[in-house]
Amino acid sequence: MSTSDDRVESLVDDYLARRVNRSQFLRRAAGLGLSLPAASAILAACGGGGGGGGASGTTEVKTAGAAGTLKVRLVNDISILDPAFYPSSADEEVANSINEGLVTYKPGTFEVVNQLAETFTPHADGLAFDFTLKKGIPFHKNFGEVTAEDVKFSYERIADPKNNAPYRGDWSTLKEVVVKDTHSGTIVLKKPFAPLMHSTLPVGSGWVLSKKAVTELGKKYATHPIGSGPYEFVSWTPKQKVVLRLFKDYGGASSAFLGKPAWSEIQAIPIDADSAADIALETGSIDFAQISLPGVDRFKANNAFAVHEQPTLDYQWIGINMLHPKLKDIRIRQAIRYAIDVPAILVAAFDGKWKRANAILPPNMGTGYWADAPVYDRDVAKAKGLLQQAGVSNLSLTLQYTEQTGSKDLVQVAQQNLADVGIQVALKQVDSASFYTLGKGLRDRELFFVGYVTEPDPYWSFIWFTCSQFDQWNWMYWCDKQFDSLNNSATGELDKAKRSQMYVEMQKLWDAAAHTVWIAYPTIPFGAKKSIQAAISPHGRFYPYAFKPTSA
Amino acid sequence: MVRYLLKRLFMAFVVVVLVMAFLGVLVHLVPGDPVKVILGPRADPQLSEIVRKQMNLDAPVATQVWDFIVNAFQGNLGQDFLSQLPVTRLIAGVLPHTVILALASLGLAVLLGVPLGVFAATHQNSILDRIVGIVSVSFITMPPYVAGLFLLLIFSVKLDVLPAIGSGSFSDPVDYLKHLALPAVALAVTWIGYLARLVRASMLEVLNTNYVRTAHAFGVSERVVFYKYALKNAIIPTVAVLGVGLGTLLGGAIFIEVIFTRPGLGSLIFGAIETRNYPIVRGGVLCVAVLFVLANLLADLSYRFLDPRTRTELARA
Repeated sequence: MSTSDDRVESLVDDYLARRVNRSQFLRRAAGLGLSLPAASAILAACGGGGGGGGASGTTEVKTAGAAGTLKVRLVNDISILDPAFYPSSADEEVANSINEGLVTYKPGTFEVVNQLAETFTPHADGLAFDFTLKKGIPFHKNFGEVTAEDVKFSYERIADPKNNAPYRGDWSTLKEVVVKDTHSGTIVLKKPFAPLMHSTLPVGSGWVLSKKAVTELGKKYATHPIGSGPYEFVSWTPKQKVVLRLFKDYGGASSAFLGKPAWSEIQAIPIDADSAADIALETGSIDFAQISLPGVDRFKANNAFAVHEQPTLDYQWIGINMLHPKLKDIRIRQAIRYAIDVPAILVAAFDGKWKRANAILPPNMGTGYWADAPVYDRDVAKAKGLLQQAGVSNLSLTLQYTEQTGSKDLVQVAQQNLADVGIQVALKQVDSASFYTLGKGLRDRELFFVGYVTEPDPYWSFIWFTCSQFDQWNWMYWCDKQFDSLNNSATGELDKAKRSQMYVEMQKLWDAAAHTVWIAYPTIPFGAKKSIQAAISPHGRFYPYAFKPTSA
Repeated sequence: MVRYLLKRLFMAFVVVVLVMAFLGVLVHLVPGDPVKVILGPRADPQLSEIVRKQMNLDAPVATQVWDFIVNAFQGNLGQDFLSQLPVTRLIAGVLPHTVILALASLGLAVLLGVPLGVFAATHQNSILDRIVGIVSVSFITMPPYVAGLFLLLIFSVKLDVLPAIGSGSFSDPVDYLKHLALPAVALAVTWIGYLARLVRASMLEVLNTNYVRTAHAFGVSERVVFYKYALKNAIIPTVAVLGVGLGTLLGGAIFIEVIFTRPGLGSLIFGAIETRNYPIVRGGVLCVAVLFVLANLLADLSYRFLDPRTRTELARA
């Protein structure tokens, strides 16, 4: 529960951020028990006491940027803020202001920097990591200081099969965390795990939780998280907002790269529809949002906003089920690949704003990018020839897809492209919960358009396409033992160059099987008020705690 | 009257039970796996199976339906699959916003639709009657989400006089009303047109009855005839329709809640359907069903209150 002082402070922030006007301020101040003279004095101190009904718009926006409340859009509501269990990026984007790890990505980059760790030293064999914690870093709400015991608890908790954490794969090779003393210890692995420094430690699975808080709060922890980050959790009103407040006793684990946290409060507001988010941003109801693709040009033309188009590591493709009798012949699959006009799709479905994919890994993954991946331009004659060689005529297929950005336009272009070479395609839209339902029913799919999101390590891009992923995520039903073997080797390979080469080899095998028409690496468009400098990671996640007011 | 009331309450109870049973079965007929949604992209078969058992989703459908009905009568609608929060708490958090929106829309529709209908009837075949007719039909054919988008663009984006998203806070009633204005108008538009046409037709029918002609013959003023005698009878069918109208408004609120990013039962259920969050779907739809049944019950009772003939028939029965 917030105190009366907190509520007054919040009201002042609202006034400074222009969310309430002078009369609303006075009315609400009266509701909080403030006398009129007292409220007027506060107004005067805020620069709004004059008889003009508040400060000028320009001044107010600057002030809001300097110390007020930051309002950001979430693409969906949160549900679980426990990093062992959170199901969506929205949960992560709220929780990253609350929690801290031994190391983290410097906001806006893939540079790994120390956060709670004073020192962090990997052993040369990749089997152990020594750490020393910064001293005197408190958890929120008087849950004590961050200790090595909390580190051990947090990581072993995710790894423990009994806890059924979906993210246990991040710590699948963890043997134990050895606690040396209150502030130091060693993470010990059973075998080297290359993704550890990319997609485990610097992100949610690497956050250090308060053992005491998790134990005491039990299931309640999921919606009442305790961290050591610059912002502490205040409240969650489902379907309305999540409120975080500046942690007054913040220990400063991120200060080296963050400086001083800029906002007194962060509000994360779930807005499902992109078009609604556009309007909310345009009208000043929020300060930062993922905006719609059609809205990009509109916001670019508006001087009050800055647009940031962030290419992600995610990948989208039209998949071909190799197990299906109609599609077993590689020549048919090659024909489909030659028939589909990917550049036309990019224009029709994504306004030409998304980058074409020619393999699974985009350049910004850093590791494993296949620069020489073949580009399959549309060749109707070649496609028809391949179909003729395969002895196929009057082929009818079904292309399944679900509602996502541009998907309807995309499948229509593909349908027309395939009709041009003599393949009749029926389009079938499936709602997302059914589309991603796993099981043997997937074997009936013929063609499908899908996009997978991924983490900042190639491991999490490739893992879904091994032989063991049949009836799970490997919807092309492609099984290649060499691919699986390379994937296993790459997971434990610590030499970046060697690892990259392995992933390139895997992509060559993938390409040769001709079960994929690569479409795009999605780009997420974000819009922000010009008075705000956003912090967005190279894989499209944002870090509200690292947002700054601009000097303008 | 008491017997009638008990009978109606019993019927309402039966309807609610049937809705619960139907809901229990229906959510399982729709393809989709909540476990996949809960576990996200990291779902694997072993973990999925464990979580499915934990959520009791491996129990026979009949058992799950029975458990739902029994628990619902004890006030327990289960827990959100994701956040583990009680569904009753989630519903309680959004229900007031939906009810206020629906009632505000209904109020607006009555306030504007009824006078428009009366005006059209009393100016039958005039140019104004025709204008009201065109406007009414235009309103009827305009879906709430189209009206909502127009209103948003005009009053929030262009004029910047009303907020674009959210519901405001109950602690600041003026702010709450500002947030309510556009959604309520958007949702009311169809009903304003519909009520105007209904009241007009009803009024014209009543104005041709003998008692109205007699009143005119006795020299009673037009104003008294229209508003005291004719309207009182002409409004009766409207009251009956309003009961159904509340249900329709609750349904239509989904689009409005999404467009205006307004918390509400509609958006809660919509989101839960997308994620196959069965407890919220069942609890939310049950809540809508109960509201719908109550609104109809209320309309039925007020219908009998307004029309003495029905009370006489009841007494004879």
